[in-house]
Amino acid sequence: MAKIGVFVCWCGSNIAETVDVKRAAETIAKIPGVVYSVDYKYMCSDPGQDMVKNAIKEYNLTGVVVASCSPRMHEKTFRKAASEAGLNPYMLEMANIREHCSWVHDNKEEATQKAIDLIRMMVEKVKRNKPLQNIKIPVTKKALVIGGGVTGIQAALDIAAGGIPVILLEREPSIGGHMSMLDETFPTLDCSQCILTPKMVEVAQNPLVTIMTYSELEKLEGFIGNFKATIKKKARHVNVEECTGCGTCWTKCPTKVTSEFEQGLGIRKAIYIPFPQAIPSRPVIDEANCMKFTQNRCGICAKICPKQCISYDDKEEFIEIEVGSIVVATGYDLMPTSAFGEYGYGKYPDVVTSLQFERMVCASGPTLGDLQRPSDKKKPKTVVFIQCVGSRDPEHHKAYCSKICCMYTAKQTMLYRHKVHDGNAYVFYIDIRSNGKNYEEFLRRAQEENKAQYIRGRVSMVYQDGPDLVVEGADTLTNSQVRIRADLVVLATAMVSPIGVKELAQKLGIGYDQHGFLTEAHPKLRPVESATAGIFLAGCAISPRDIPDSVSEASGAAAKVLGMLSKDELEKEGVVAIVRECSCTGCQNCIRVCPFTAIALKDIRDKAGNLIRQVANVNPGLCTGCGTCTPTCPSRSIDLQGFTDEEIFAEINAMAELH
Amino acid sequence: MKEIIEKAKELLSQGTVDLVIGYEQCGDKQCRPLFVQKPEEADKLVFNEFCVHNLATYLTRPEVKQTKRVAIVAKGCDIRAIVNLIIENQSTREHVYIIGMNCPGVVSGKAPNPTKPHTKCQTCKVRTPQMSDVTLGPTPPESIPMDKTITHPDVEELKKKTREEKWAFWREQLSKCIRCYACRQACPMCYCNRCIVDLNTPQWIDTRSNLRGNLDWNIVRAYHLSGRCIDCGECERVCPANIPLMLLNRTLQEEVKEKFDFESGYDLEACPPLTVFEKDDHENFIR
Ligand SMILES: Cc1cc2nc3c(=O)[nH]c(=O)nc-3n(C[C@H](O)[C@H](O)[C@H](O)COP(=O)(O)OP(=O)(O)OC[C@H]3O[C@@H](n4cnc5c(N)ncnc54)[C@H](O)[C@@H]3O)c2cc1C
Ligand code: SF4
Ligand code: SF4
Ligand code: SF4
Ligand code: SF4
Ligand code: SF4
Repeated sequence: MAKIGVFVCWCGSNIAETVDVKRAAETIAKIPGVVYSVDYKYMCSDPGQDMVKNAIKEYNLTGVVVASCSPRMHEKTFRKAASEAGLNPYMLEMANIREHCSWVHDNKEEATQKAIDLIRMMVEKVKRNKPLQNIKIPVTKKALVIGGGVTGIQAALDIAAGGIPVILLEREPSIGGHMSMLDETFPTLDCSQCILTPKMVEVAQNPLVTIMTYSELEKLEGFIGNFKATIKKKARHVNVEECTGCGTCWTKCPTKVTSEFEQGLGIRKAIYIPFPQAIPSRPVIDEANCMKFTQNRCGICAKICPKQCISYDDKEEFIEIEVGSIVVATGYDLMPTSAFGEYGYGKYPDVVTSLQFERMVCASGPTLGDLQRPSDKKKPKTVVFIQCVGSRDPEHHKAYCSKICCMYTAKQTMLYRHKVHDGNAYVFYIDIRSNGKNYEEFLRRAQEENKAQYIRGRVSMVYQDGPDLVVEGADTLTNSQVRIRADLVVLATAMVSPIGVKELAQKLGIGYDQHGFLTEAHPKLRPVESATAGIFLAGCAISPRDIPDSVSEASGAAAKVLGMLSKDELEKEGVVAIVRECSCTGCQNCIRVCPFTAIALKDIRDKAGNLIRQVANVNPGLCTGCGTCTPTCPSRSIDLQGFTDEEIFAEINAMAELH
Repeated sequence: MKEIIEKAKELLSQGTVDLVIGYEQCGDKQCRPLFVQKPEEADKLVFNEFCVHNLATYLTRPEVKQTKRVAIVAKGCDIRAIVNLIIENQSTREHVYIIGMNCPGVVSGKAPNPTKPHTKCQTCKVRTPQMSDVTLGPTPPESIPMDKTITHPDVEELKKKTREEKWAFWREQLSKCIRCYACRQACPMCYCNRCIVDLNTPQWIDTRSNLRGNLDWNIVRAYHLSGRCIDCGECERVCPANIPLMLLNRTLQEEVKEKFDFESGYDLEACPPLTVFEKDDHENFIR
């Protein structure tokens, strides 16, 4: 026989002003099965919680309803109190008579009646509740970081610093990401390579970090604490253990290819390392261009390699690893500039992207830092920078702001003036966003000391006139048309999610927005978590951001990983789906709709081992209790514990009874 | 129908299958299902315009599931049900040997006075079976092209009614239901071993044969069949209360076609849209 205790909270005057709490408690006391019903000023206070605990013991309560605020506020508090008093925590329910009642009504009579209804519903539910146990899951104390840019590197270093082994996965031949391509960085103008290279070396030398470059995630199975990842190692054709990085092969390789790292402004060979500081400093053969693969001739590199570590027959390899937690730090790409016909990118060689400009001024770039424009190698005397190319343009491109273009454009005007002291730098902008520590001061330096001339307005077109480019646009502050003859035009193109991220997110079972940026579990309160337990996010993979933000998030995500992997077992709520095997037909509806791939088919066999039929089976480690599966089952063969059909039905009936 | 008899004998005597499900004549204007386990019993097999039953409904019966392999005489429209059963993990392509029949059309209406032809035949896209192990029978008349969107005249008529008129119409029709569940038993897609209507903890569906209970039942069943019903018409044929169940089903199938561009039972790779979760599912129904 149920013995239910009901505790009606005043929440000071928050509830008591609109709901007659005394009358509610008295009315509820009359429901069969309710053996104790009181009201109290603050149920969540220590004395309030003690009332619950004492009543559980004194009346041997089998269930408790606390009628107060939203369960989001205090369900944990009261369930903990109940369990301290020896009651299974899932035998306690909350009736929300604040957010759902007193706060949204002003007629006291009606609000009181509604409060009574809400409490009665929970009383009927809790009568049918079943004790549940939290679920314990063992954890693999190892982490995987996907993406070897500065974010991924930092995350790997911080996780390793906590004593947890970590695998750093990068699909390019080297780690480093975009930061390795930059010249100097705002707001301090320190050289990007000089601050990144030590980190790259540190991560490479850390005994707890395994770097896997030229590799991608093929498949992910399992769940929080127990992921099983299949990694595809692309065929490198170079034995990395034997290779010393001597460089004989790439010096002698006759095949020249435009360099991705140099943004198309330089060349590399078909066997190559992307940049001198690459880690690992071991080359790869680019099958698409190597003559051995395209025409079955050449073979020079294999002949001259002193260590004989080149093999053209290498095949891609698949490696399975087990990890407990994952950080996704896949960064960004720039929007393909072919989209901007009006700016003449691709048509006029002297219209370049911001990243190309970084390479043009970089001391390790294709011209070793001697700024020359691509068409005729002339030093540009006038440079026009165009901001928000593709960003903040909901009609044609991306509605969002790429956040950092204002700052790097200001930086690039400075880098330019450091190379060409009497040069003219013009910047077309919509608004200036410089809201970071020392950012506004940095911007002012660009404008005041370095004489960058800022024009507020959009550029309508760029065209070639003899050797020069002509930039036409509007100055919306003076309301006039401007026409500038320029030697070079730099486009601050939108930062977009890199190719393949959606597919990756689908493999991982994490969310992404319409732009392909990964979605946080909560944009404010859980910014480095994905909605899938055990998978964390950091850096530009979430949205455009600068290095300081990316690195902070990397450390944040690492802290989350370490927190999770510091325990031997993880505990999660017992609210998970369960299959009634006797009636399940194995139709797979639930399997297909489960957003967390928590359900799989299970074979039912007879004693002799013959397959009789298949039924659905929920992995409690993966199930988040979202409930998507339950209404999809035609025969109602899958139920959510803690919110079973029977419990919900009792609630509905309790409400419907008196109306 | 010598071809079918020969084929059945061959399959049974060679041990390819241990059961053949087909039709036998019973009376002038009626056929009935025939289960053949021995070659000598196969002589009764027939195929004609009275072979209206969708035999795929038997594939999910435990006795049939237990066979090593089963052969089934199936019209193109019946094969749509087999396709769905395979998608829904109730059968496998390997387990079923499909004796596909080129089909000139079957009769509709109930024995002893069926009238020709069945409404489903007027819109048939699969007079030549789309998936079979052997196809028998003379070349049939031309089918309607696969990519053509079918609208049924009676559904069009119904759509012209106002909400209130539709509601009144269905209340009247469904109030006739006597809760015999013949529709469910005949339906190849109603294979649940415990139908929701038989569930009593809790009892979501009122089992009384009154308007409220009938609305519960018929609406739930129609919803369970949306995107899955393959238009075989068996439910309507067996309904003793003469409820226009096909009108209900077709309305929903046309809705599914319009919203998801999906027709069930033609593609082994395509799942019924209401049983899948896609990240980019449209949400325009949320208002
Ligand atoms: C022109 C320009 C100038 C800039 N200047 C500055 C500056 O001065 N100061 C500043 O603070 N910031 C600057 N930034 C921003 C800076 O580049 C980024 O904040 C930073 O690089 C972000 O690092 P990340 O690791 O998140 O991303 P990335 O550097 O993009 O690294 C992501 C890595 O993940 C890898 N990856 C992607 N997908 C996969 C996959 N599926 N599997 C495996 N690996 C994958 C990529 O290959 C890459 O190595 C600038 C940006 C631009 C465009
Ligand atoms: S409750 Fe949600 S997560 Fe759990 S099995 Fe059902 S659909 Fe999957
Ligand atoms: S939807 Fe229901 S019947 Fe189908 S597999 Fe899932 S639990 Fe079983
Ligand atoms: S066959 Fe007709 S009468 Fe029988 S349950 Fe179905 S709809 Fe009702
Ligand atoms: S609902 Fe009727 S028409 Fe549709 S598949 Fe079932 S029996 Fe056939
Ligand atoms: S009506 Fe629904 S629950 Fe009942 S047998 Fe048909 S599909 Fe299954």
